[in-house]
Amino acid sequence: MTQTTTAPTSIITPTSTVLEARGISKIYPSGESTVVALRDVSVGFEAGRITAIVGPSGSGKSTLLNLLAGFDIPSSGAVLHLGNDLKSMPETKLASYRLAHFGFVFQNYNLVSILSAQENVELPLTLAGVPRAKRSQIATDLLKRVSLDKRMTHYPNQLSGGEQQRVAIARALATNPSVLFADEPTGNLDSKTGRGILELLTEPMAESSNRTVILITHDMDVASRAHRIVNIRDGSLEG
Amino acid sequence: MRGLLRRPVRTLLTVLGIVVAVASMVVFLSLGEGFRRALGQEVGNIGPDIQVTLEGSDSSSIFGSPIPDVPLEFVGKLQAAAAEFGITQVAPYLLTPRGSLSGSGYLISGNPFESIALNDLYPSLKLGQGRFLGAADKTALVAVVGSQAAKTANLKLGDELRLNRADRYKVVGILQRGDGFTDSFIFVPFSALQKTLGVSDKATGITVKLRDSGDARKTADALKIRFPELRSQTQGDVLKVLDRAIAIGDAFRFGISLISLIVGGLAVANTVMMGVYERTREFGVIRAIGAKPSFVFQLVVLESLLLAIIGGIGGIFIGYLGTLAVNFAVRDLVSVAIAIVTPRLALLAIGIAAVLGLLSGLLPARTASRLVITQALGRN
Repeated sequence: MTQTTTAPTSIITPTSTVLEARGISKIYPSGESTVVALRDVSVGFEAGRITAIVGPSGSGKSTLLNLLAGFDIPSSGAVLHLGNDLKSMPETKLASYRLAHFGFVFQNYNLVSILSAQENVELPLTLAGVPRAKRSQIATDLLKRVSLDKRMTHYPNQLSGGEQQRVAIARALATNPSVLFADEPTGNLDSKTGRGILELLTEPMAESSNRTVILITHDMDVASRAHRIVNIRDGSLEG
Repeated sequence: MRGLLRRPVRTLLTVLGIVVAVASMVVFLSLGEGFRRALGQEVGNIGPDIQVTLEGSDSSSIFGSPIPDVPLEFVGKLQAAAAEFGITQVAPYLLTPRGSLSGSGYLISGNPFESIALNDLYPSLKLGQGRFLGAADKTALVAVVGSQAAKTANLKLGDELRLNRADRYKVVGILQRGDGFTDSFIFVPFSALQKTLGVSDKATGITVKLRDSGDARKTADALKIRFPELRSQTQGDVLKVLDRAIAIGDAFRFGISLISLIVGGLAVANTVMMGVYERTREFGVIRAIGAKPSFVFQLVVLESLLLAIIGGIGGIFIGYLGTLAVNFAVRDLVSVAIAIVTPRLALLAIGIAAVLGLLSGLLPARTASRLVITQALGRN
């Protein structure tokens, strides 16, 4: 069971906008009324740059990431990746699109518990239909780069929080995505481990391939690693 | 597979549910397979190519009506037409059951041994003790007894078998144990049995042997046109009748086992659905990474299928052991292996287990494939 992906064809040059939100809003029904989680947000993300989206809890950071990543569709407005409108894509195409172009690192790691570290890293490659030998090689290389080459056969419950997050980073980079989303990647880690994770996300891997990194955080210390900080409050961008 | 092993006890219990359901189905249906094979062998052993009974008479018995109703004049008529139809031998027979055939009974078969040898009728029969019946026994009250019938009626060589108040048949031969229903037969001379039963001009049926057995179908059709009052059945026809009767029995038994299969299927559906609920977040992650809904659907159906097929294989094995137990238990009663697990039955069991797995997995798979990513990841 594998699925093929649509290979990116656009040439990304540094400073060109890779991902763009154009006037997006998200409104959830709540009983007989509605809740506006995001209001007319427009923001662009450039190739090779790290952008931190910061804001207090409930400000709409996660909603914005959901829409940018294609997990959810905006109530109005559009999300464009390399000029492609995610909203217009049917679910199956959107899934393939995410697989080919986006990588994700979550706060609580979200590794698949029944898969080893190596198998977790291979998962997106398996979905993309990459042959076994090649995906094994890619996973091994990536786990070496996150210093987990001796823990490849370990399962998530045998790894520490920091190790799990490093596996998650390796998994996110397995398909060499053009956009890497990281949602509170250090939120569950102590400060020392968190610094190590941030280094992995921001340098040198993230910058080496014109990859766009979007960091969601409420921690200004984490945000300070970014080239650009976007503030969000009450569902709207500030400044 | 590892998804299923996450809750090994629950998975094991579910597999056991399928094992029991499939095993019971295998045992039930193996009875039909056993009957089919045993009766097929028996009919195949019968010498005559065509068996003639009266058209419109009770068709519940493959050998003809329980009450003799075929006028003997047809024996002469068929003999007269022998040359035209390529017939080499025509012989009437009487067949009458005593007791129940399910263990305590036997069949009395009256055949004209002055014109037909017992091995012409049943080529596989072998004499154990005493002698066969012959021309000299035409009206004699003598009998050759099948091994099972001898056991059932408690008969030994030289003993007497009482078939009515006056007529006592002396046992002059006992057959070796075969592996068929003829073990429950007692063979006596046709004329003697006519007198005992008080039927002088009727027979249960007439056996017809042809010069070329391959012409049986054609000849039976031609006989039907010439003698519309008679029903001419080839061995194939008899087998078809038997097969239909067994198929009805199979359908009945399958109906019973369907209940346990449905219960087993619900157990699989429950286990897989619980697995889906427990792995909501993981399915959300897989979908977020880029798996299509169809991938998740297939993954869940595959798990369900795997569960059911493992249960199916286990069920065939346990069912096979069950048939051995059934055959062992009834060995002394019916003398044939009445329960047989044939490759056809094994394939059917696997097929049904697979269909069960497929159907049981559909609802959980649909649920898993339709998860909203943001909800599954707890992101809203």
